Amino acid sequence: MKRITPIFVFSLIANFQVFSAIDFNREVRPLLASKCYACHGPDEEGRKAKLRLDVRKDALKNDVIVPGEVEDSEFHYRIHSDDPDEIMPPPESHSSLTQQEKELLDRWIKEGAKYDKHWAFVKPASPKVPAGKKGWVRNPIDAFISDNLTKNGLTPSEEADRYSLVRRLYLDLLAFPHRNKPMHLFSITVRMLTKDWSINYSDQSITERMGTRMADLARYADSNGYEKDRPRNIWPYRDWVIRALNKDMPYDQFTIEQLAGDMLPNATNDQKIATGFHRNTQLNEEGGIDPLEFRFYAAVDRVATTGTVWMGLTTGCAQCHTHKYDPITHDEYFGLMSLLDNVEEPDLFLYTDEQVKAKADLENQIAQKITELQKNDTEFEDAFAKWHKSESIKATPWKTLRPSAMKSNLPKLEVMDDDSIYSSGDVTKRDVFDLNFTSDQPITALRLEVLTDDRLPGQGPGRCYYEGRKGTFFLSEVDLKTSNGSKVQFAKPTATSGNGADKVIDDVGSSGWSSAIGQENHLILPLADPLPANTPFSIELLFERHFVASLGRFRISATSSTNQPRVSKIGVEAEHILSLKETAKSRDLSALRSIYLEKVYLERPAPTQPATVQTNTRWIWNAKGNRPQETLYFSKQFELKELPQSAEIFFTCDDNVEFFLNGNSIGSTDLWSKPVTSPIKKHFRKGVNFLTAKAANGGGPAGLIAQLSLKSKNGKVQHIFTDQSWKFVSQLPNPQAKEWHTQALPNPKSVVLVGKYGDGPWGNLGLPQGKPAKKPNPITQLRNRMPRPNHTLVMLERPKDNPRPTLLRHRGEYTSPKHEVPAGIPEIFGLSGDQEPVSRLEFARWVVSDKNPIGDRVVVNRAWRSLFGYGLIRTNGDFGTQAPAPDHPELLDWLATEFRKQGMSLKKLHRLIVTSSTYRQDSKASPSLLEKDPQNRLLARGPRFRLSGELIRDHMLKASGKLSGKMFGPGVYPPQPLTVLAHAFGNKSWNASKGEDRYRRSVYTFIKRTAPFAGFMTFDGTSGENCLAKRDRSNTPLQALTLLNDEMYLELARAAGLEVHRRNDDPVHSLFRRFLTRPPKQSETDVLQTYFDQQLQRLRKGEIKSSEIAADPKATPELAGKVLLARAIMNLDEAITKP
Amino acid sequence: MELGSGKIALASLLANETFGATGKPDFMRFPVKAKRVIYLFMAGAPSQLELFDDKPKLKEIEGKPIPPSVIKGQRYAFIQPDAAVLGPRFPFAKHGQSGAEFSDRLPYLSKVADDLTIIKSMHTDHFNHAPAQLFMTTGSGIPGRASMGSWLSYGIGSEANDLPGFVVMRSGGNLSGGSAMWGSGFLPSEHQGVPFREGAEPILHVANPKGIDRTAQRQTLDLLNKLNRGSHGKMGDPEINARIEAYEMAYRMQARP
Repeated sequence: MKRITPIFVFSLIANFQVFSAIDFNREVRPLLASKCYACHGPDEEGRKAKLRLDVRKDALKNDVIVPGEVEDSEFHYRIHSDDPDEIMPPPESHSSLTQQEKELLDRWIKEGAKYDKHWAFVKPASPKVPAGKKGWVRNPIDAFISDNLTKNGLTPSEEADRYSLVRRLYLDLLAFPHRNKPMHLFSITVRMLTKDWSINYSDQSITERMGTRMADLARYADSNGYEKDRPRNIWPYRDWVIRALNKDMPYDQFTIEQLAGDMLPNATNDQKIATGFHRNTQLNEEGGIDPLEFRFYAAVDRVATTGTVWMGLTTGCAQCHTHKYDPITHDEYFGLMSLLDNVEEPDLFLYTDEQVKAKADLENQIAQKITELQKNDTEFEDAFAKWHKSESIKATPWKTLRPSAMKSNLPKLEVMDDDSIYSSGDVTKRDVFDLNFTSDQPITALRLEVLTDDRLPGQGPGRCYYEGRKGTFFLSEVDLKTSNGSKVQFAKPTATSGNGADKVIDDVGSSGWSSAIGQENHLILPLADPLPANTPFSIELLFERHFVASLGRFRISATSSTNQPRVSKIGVEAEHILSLKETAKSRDLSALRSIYLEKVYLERPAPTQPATVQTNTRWIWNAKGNRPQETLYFSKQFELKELPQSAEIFFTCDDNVEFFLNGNSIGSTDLWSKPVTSPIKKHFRKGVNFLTAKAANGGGPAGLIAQLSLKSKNGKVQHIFTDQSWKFVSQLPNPQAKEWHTQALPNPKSVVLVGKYGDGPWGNLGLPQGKPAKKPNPITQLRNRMPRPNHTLVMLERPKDNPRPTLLRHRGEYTSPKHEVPAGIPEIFGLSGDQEPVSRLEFARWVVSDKNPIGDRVVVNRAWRSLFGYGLIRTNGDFGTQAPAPDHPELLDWLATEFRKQGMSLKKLHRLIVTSSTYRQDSKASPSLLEKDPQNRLLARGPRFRLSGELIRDHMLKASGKLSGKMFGPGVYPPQPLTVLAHAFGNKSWNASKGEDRYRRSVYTFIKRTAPFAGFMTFDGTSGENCLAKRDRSNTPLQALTLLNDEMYLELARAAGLEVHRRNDDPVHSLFRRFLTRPPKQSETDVLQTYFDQQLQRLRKGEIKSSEIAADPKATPELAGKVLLARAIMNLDEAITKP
Repeated sequence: MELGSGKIALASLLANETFGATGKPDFMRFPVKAKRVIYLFMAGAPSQLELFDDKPKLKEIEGKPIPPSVIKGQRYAFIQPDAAVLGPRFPFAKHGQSGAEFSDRLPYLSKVADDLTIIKSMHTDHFNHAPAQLFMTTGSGIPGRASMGSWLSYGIGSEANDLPGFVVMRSGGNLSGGSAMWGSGFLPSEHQGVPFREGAEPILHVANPKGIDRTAQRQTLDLLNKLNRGSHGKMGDPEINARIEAYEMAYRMQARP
């Protein structure tokens, strides 16, 4: 829809060029297209009076136009009529023909009313190269240009001075200025252009520069757009573009891989990544959208973008109706969509070579570790045997069920080799899977496993790709019916993990079961009554959510066991082996051992933390119940093989107690509700130890409780606690003497257990309910080190048995589907039946073949535009009938054919253009030249225009010495005010990158669609919402404010000032050269020096603060002055302009 | 230093490649009468169904299931198939000579009923926030079209010497449609809305950086003007003069009363 194409272009051209005969394409068609075709053009619905003027044979009907006979042509009378009822165009169209235009049309009729095929649809033939201006022509470009100049009475400008030329070349090719080097580098530059273009760093640079332009076309962004605008991971595509351009991938290959890389035989990961081109469409993640509707809008965008990038056509209009001016019908539009739309849109998971290796290494290590742990742990085999015995009894044998038939509302279901079911194709917010089975065994319970798969978003198990977390699923309901339609009731379902297992049988769609993404879990559905063998039945799975949430891969099993079926948290494989009982083979048992080791044995609760009281720890005393006032002496003897690493005691007593370890007091309390917990560091000894207590009751309930926890060096924990084994006496000969603490009590009595810990009246004593100390599981630790794959968005051709039909949508509205449209290219391209592409790959091959008359012209026009500021055809994206004729048609065609001849190399194309004399011209515009050719369409002078926002930043980064050479990777965040993000709906944070990432080339800047980077937008940047074939170049005060005041640029002014200061360079000369390449003239030096001195003076006086300007508390006025000088120079028109 | 009016008016802005030498879009043959357009876009305001747009039928079937004709074949988020209809919560009455209907929630506005134009013929199928907001502001539910404001800026231009022609003022909340709501789409990008931001700096970078006072800024501009004029003398590019004017306008925008 980028169609703002005025007709006066025609008159300009007419001034320049003298034509003997009328040229239909150049003069008549644009006129008819803009004034007549709306009612008398290709669009049948809009056509008036059944008159069609865009096809000659129709226009000649009924003597509307009589070739050669103006007076006999109704057309002539109608355009000249004074009668408002007769005149064409009619007054209500608010369109009219000038006298000049009317005369032109008359002349055209007189000359035979010749129609020509629109030039853009005629294959470019290599035109004859004119001689051109002698001594000036470096290559055929110059021949065409000078030939045209001569015809218009002009001569080329002088060659630009070498500084301008070097600067122009550097900015165009490397995206930064040449800096501070001797001028002999110019010869290197020229060599670089004329030889093999093999200098490494420049390679990268030019491709990053071209990458920015490709990103505009690809509407590349790092977020999804629309309200939520969440980040997306598609930078591998951006990196692919840069790499592809870097190695100068031929343009045909470059195109085919982006449009259909996935369909190439044995497609590599890179070729798949390339298909991200059409995954750059926006994704609406708002709750409740119809995902298929927004899929359709993405498909619409893909047609429009493809049209702009490769066909030079604005196809957008034909989305809603047959094109008013261009010969693209409504049906043909959908034919194009059909070519592009037979796709799935998955994530592609990417493992680097290092990751693949690391993964294999880790798997080895895990296997080794498992063997080693089993071997070295003497308790393992016993523990396993015990566990195996008890678990085998409880295990349930499950048998997977293979559906005899499957149906769904839309997704395609297929059974995999492992009997699991995989879902692909389109999904909705309410998916229903209907699966038919028969089992030769009775069924007492069903099991649904949800499985992961790399083909699923987030690796599954669900197919959610927006709004929720990728890979989420939500199972609303499970229905089981026998073939006669009677419903079979379930008992309470349970699941290994996740919420809502029991909600899948509640008949409420909005509640259900979901478990974690990237994990395999299962749901057990016990039947209320067994289903007899050989009863055909169906299972209906309903997935209903406000976003897509059906399962992507799952498996159903059944059991006949009368055992209570149970979920198996350690996985279905273990359950299977356990259920084999005696029939398990040694291989099975070995696998089971490994599972047991990893998931049970190493996960067993470690001995509890000291604060946690052991279950066998008791309150003790000499008797239960209310006791009189009395004092008792308790003693516990225990052995230590070695001194503990650490120890902690907990004790209390109703009413008071003092504890001793081997005769040393280790604490006391006189209130039962104030238990003592304290570490004990000393007083232990190897061999026999005594823990003793002098405890007293003041009357009423009495009790003593204590627990000593000892941890050995190897982590083993041993507990000594109050229980039946403790002894006591109520009297001692000499309680003050140490003896009773260090030897067995004389005539001891056994204690009476008066309660468990937690019993009343004491309760839990306010002790923390410590958790078992979790010992790290060494296998889990290894698994956690498994490399996580990167991922990117790609296209995948749908399988042959599940094509997506493309329906014509009336008025382009998703909600008005009409008939199905076959894939195809608009008729105007003149393909016969067998040439017609029918798949995306064939289409991709066609757009870059010489059968596409427009494709090559579009590419060379884009390259031309990037170097000269204007294309040879100005619309850049649109070569349709309303597009003005090219300024230099023969040159455009010559470049197009040359481009193909030279292997479709973009680098060669650029080199060809920049090595022309045309490119080397001085860009000075004399008043007379300015008057004659204000827009420099004839190219009698060199290009001069403002740089893009991205290029300005890159250029300033380089000149200030801050530019990072780091390439590739996720988007980065240069500084910008946070208020830029304030209006965004979703994530408003912009954590400006630190270090090198702050100064990366602009092509790596994170693009957030709803709040794009302000520093670029102010300079006509793009938010990546639509394909952008050409940028505007506005000139606004907001740009001035950005360059003057934006912290991003201030930082660079400071860096440049500091560098010049450190090197002790002459500030004026050095800074000038950095930012403008050329040395200053004397007059400029004087003005700048005056400014510098002026600022220095104010800084020295303290009128402005050096520390603030240089953002450095220790900054001197000299440094700050240089910062101000750098800032001023960065704001010069010349600093942001290609000379 | 005086630079004349410094006006960057429509004509000069449009004198670019898009419009060729005449510098005027084709449709601008009509006299421009509107001086300014103020467009309040109130996302999250009370529903028109409770303010201006009485729905007696809804009242009638309140509490009953949604008629199948409404949701047949459609599936809406958050709406269960058995959901019931909710009617207007407040009574409506006719006001003024026009008989415009207002609910009793607008007791004051209804008194000036005859001074208001209420348009009820605007419909959209978009019921999600972002597409609906984009539809309201750009005529399309998909981001990337030219917004109403940029069309007006394009068609009417700006008379202001020291302000952008199309500004966007924002208060509170989150905007689902994002910056696409004031984007210029396929129109020249200078017609994109300039967001006035909250806080002390309504226009991005309108405040001088710390340490740079107005004198320093003026002296810098004087330097730039001198050198840029020199450039113009040498290169003859009219864009240089436009840049000089843009800097002067920027300086005026920085002036605080």
